[in-house]
Amino acid sequence: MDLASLWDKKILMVSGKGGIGKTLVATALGIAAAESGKKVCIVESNIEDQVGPLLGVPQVGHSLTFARPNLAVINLDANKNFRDFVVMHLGFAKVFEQIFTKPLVQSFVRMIPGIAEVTLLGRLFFHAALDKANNFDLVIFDGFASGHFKSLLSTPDAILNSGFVGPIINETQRVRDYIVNPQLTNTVIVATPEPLVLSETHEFISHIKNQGLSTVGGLIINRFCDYRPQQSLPDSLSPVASYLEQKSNRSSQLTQEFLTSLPPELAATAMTVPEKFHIPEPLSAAWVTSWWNQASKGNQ
Amino acid sequence: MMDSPVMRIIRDGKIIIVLGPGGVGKTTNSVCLAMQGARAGKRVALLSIDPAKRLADAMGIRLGHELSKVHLPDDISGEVHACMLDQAAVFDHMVRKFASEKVANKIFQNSVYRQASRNLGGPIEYMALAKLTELISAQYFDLIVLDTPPDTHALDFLVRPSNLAGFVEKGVMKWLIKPFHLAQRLGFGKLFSVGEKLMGGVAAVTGIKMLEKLSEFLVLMDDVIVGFHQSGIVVTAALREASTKFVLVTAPHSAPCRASQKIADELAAKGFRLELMIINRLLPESVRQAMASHGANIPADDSLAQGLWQQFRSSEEIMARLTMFAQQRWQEAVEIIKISEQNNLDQDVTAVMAFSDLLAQQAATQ
Repeated sequence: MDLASLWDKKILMVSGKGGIGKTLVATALGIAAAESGKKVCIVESNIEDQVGPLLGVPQVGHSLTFARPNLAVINLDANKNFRDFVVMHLGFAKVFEQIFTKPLVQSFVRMIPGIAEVTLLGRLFFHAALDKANNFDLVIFDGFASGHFKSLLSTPDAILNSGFVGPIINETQRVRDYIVNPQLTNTVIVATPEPLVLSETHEFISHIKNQGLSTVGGLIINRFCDYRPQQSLPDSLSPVASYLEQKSNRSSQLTQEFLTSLPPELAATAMTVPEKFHIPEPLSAAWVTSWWNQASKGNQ
Repeated sequence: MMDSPVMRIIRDGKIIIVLGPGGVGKTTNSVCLAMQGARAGKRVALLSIDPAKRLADAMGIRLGHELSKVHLPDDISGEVHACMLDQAAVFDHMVRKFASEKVANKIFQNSVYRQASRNLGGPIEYMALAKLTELISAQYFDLIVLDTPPDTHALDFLVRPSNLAGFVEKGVMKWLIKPFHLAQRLGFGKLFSVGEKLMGGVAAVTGIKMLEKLSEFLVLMDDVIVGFHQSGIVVTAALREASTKFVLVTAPHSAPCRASQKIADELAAKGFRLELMIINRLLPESVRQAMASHGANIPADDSLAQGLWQQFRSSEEIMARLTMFAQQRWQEAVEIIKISEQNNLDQDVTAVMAFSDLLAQQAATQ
């Protein structure tokens, strides 16, 4: 895989098992795309900001915040995002202020299944296609962990198959078409060379592929350990040396096995990025560039 | 010999709720706690409400939505019955339990129900509650271990019962359903012309058909929601018992540490006490000792070993911070145990059992 092959997309959704570095990869992709001249928006939806601190912006929350002139970040709040969807996206400002602010109606709306999911995907579509004020080239979603991500992607179909009509349904159709279009939207899957992670990733990829939910445009094996020191460590540190050597061996062996088990066209989209053990916050463009430069194609 | 923190929790606990951010080994630790329960001779139920199939992976067996008995080594006197909750099955079960047969069949045919129960994210906490209620009232198990979904959603299920209680008790349901009962007599066109402006506004955005189906759904679900609300009360009470133990699993890195503090804050805000913190995924003991005494001797050009040295130092700092944090948060000190990362847990039940025994032997750190 070549990173530049991802830059001509409009939306990149980053997902994978919990705790494997999705946020780091999403943020680093954002920085790299911005460095290549794109205007980028990174969207996350977490209880607390995670992308912001990596970009050196401590407080982001539910407002579009520019970390650099061409790199913005927002941390969506589901309730506020539903309001934005109705007001900004569907253009029902008056209805919203008169009706949807009523507590009783709010409890009712929360019962509409999948509303948070559809409005989240709607937000990605909005910044990628409708947001003329900002005119982003690329929207990167620091996505949910695999289980929640699967249900996020299946929500539009669930709503469309309910046989409903109305503005939200029409919009859901438009959003869905945009998300499944391989030219416009790709999913980037992150994994680490650990047995439990790789087995779950395998199942996750098959599910996305078989259900036709999204096109996997990249597979990033994070924390790939490749220990080749100039000189060996002093004897007093031999446990450290053998730890790093074992980790290296496991990295290459497990990655190899994993890639062989994938369909060749998927394995071809794989790349490994090195284990660093320690991530400097905030991320600098120089750090990100050197990190991606150490990446290698997974099938080599 | 004094009981270790894990043994104490196993001995005194009837329900163990395992919380923590993603990727710290929460499921593995839940499995290990359940296995220790079985080692102590208990009949243990292990529930995972994580939609991912991690639990099955860690146990080396396939799991369905029904509890299935895990094959344990012969020297274990107790039992572990595990399941990974399946959304649709638990929902259908609830409907059958609380609604009459006639209503249940109508509910199963309602498109909102079909889509919501099968495809949508979100209601997973409800499932945990339904299953917990079932297990508590069945009284077969001595110990229930609940593995929760990662971070952001972890604590939802603790407040869902009271949210739902508010929804039912404040008459919101009645208020919502009243116009729909009327509408089913008069037709929907009439409904919005007889002054139901609010719902007319909702219909303008969501579509009349959606409202219609949703209202039918709500009318039908009335009994189920009330029944479910009552079972929610049972669970809420059970969660407040002293025999319900909260365990937080975390890792000594900055992101999981931040997320764990947030989880601990929320737990405290809801009036629950954290019993045990498991700091998982430490570097192996030999590496930590070598780093502590000789880390400064790592050559500057060995960037990977340098990175590991930095990680070691920041981990020690983070663990000190977590310890301070836990002690300040709860007046009685939370017990903390630390355990090194394991690489072989995918292999078989024996490997998981060995890790479980190791966990049970850990003494609390000062």
